Parts: sequence; structure tokens; C-alpha cells
Amino acid sequence: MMTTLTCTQCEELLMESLRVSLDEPAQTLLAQHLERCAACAPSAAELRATWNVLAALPEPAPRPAVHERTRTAVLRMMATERTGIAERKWYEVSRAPLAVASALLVAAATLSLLSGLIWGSTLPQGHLFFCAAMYTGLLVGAFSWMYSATTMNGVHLDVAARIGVLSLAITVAAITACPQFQILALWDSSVLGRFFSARLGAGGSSLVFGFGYGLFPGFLAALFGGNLLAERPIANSLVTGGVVFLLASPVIYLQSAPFTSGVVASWIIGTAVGALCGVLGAVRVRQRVADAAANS
Amino acid sequence: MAAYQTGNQDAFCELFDRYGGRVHAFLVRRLGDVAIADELHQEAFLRLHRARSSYDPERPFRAWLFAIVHNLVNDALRSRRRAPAMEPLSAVRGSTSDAEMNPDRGVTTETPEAIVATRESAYALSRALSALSADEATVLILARFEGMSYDEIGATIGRSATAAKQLAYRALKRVRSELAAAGHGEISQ
Repeated sequence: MMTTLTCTQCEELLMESLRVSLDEPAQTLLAQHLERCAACAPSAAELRATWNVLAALPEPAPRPAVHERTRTAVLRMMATERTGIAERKWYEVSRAPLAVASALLVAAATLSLLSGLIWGSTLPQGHLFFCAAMYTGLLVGAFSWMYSATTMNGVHLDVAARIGVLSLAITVAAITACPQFQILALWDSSVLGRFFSARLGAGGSSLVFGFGYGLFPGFLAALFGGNLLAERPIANSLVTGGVVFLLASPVIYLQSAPFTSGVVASWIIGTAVGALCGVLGAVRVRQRVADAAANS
Repeated sequence: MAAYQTGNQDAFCELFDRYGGRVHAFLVRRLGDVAIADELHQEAFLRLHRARSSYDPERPFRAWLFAIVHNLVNDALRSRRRAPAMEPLSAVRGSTSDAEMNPDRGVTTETPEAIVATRESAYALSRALSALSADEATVLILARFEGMSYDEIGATIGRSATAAKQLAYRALKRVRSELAAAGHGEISQ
């Protein structure tokens, strides 16, 4: 049980007291603080007055026509969905489970590739970083599609995937154009790079950087980008193409490296699954565009 | 809500009758523009409909509903940022009569001076609210007009109850200083 309040606690209690009646002990604590605090007392009185004066804002009721238009729009959508369910094709019914399965397959393929390459390979660090970052981006993409296809709640993580893929495409271009460019060398010489190298070794450190590189811009975009691109089929198609290209890139890029059957299998599965994710995403976007047109 | 999630139209109508007006009132206060609020009212319920399968019955419904509306408003404001700045609700003075704002109010018996004073106050308040950040405005409106607890409000904007209280406190202080700066200090005396 508190015996005195700090000014911050007083502010919180004051806000609570404006909404509801406080219980006796809380009321006493608040009153005691306000009695002896020269800063809070006048401020509390002013805020109470401002709170009360907010009542002057009008109580805006929707016009019946607006109310009815909204109700009708939702009821029409419900009716369309019912009709749609009855007429659904097999691939529409299985879209969500397919998306989940495809994302899980990508995850499995990625893990098998990463575990083989990162810890078992003698390839240069730049190559490893490239693979780690690329497949991280693809993981984000795959799970975004899965999330969108199963929830469709207006949160478009697929934007994150697009930005992630874009940043990775830039990496591919940079490394291909200038093989000597070792971005990971910069990471290794940084404070964070040294920190992770000391604890996780060179492979673990490059994996951390790859994950950060793939995830950070994507999630930043998801947080602040909103749904700017969500209903753009052309952009969506370009991303699908980008995903497939990136999945094919290891074969082009690592052609001099020894291939195991596991790596090749991962590439084939990854390419197929990436393409499937893209197609499923495109179907979803097309449906959303159609819904928006029907309801506008 | 459970019945509505399974596609029951009557359940939707009941839910809509209960919350349709509340959502509209929130939109008008938050946006300060009846026309945009009318437009977003439909979009809010369409979003709710699309998202209904993701509703978790363990969560308070109002918090979930107003989270959708809060995000919708943020999206709308973001997309309109490039358009000419919106005037607050009462900026279009006289375009929205009291009877329109509240049909239950009917024919007024107030004097013209009182009506003008009320409109001036509403105008000043609406302007002050429009100066708040997105989270501040939402928190203050939900606490003041929807009677939601700070736990619910925190869940709406994805913050803790304590953070919601602090936001409400800052918002109220800011409203007060905006009123004073606009020469309406006497309103909140």
C-alpha cells in the first residue's frame, strides 16, 4: 500500500479520477498530494475544468442514410461471401492451408540450406552472408503471405516482404557487380560484429547480420509503410518475379562451389514454393481489389 | 460476436445497432469532419467484417473494434496528408446544424447568443483536438466520451494502461494550452 504519491503517480490517479470515482484510500492519497504539491494542485484544477469543458463537443449521431449505407454494405458483403462459399473452386478452398504448407516448406528448405552452408561450408563469408540474408528475406515473405492469406485483417506484412526483397536485390546486384566488395568485412570490423564474432564465431556473426539485414527494413516498412502497395497487382507481380529470381540466384552465383544434393533440392523446392507463395498472394490481392470495387 | 463470426446477419445487425453510432461519434470527434467520418464509417465496418475471424473472444470487444477504427483513421490521415489540410469539424460553421448533429435534440429553445457561444466552444475544442497526436486524440476521446477503462484504451492503441493514462494527461494539458493560445482560455476556467 502506497503512503505517498510521486507527481507522475498523481497524474495517473488524477486521470483515473476524471473517469470514475476513486476508492477511499486512493482519493485520500490524491487529496494529500494535491494539498502539499505546489506544481500539481493548480494543474489538477485546470485539467478537471478542461475535462468538463470537453462536453461542449457535440454528440454527433450519424444521419440515417449513412447508418443504412454502412449496414447495407456489410450485409451485401456477407451475402456475397455466402454465395462465394457455395461456388468456391478447390484451389480457393485450399488457399489458406496451401499458403501455410508452402511457408513451412520454405522454412524447412531454408534451414536445411543454411545449416549446410553456414556451418559446414568453406565458402567465403560474403557468399554465406548473401545466402543468409536472401533466405531470411524469403522467410519473411513466405510467412507474410501465410499471415495475409489466413487472417486478412488489414495488416499487410507483405509490404515488409517486398521491401525486404528489394533490399536483398540491391545486395545481389552489388555483390555481382563487384565481387571484391565484402560488406560483411565492414560488419566484422564493427563493435557489434566483434561482439557477435567473439560469442558465436564467424558463421554465427554473419548469420546475425544476415537476419538483421533481411528483417529490419522489412519490419520497419510494415510498421510505418501501411498498406501502400497492398492492392497493386502490378507491384505484386513484380515481387513474385523478384522472389523467383532471387531463388534462382544461388545457382548462378555459387556455380563454382561444390553442390550437394541437399542444396540442389533446397533450391528446387524453394523456387517452386516461392512461386506458389507469389501466386497465392496475387490471387488474394485480386480478390481484395474485386471486393473493394464491389463495395465502392 | 461469436454468432456474427459464423456469418449470422442478425448478429451483425445487433452489433451494428449497438456500436454504429459510437463509431461514427468517435470518427467525427477524431477527424473533425462529418463528411470524412461518414465515408470512413462504412470502411470501418467493412474492415471489421474482413477481420472478424481474427477476433479473439478473450479480448475486450470495444478495444478490438476501436483499434480497427484507430488504424483506419491513421491510414486515412496519412493518405490525405498530401491533400489540402482538413479544417476541423466546426470550421464549416453553420454547415452542420445542431439538429443534424443530434437528431434527438430537435427544435432548440436556446437563445441565438447561447447557440453562437456553444458553436464557438465546439469549434475551439475541435481545433484543439486536431492539434493532438494520433494516439493522444484517440486516448482522450475514448476516455472522455466512450467511458473506456485505461486497460481497454491501452489495448486499443497497443500500449499499457499506464502509458494510456500518461497520454491522456498530456493530451488534456495540450488541449488546455491550445485553447489558451487560441484565446479561449476562459472556456476551461
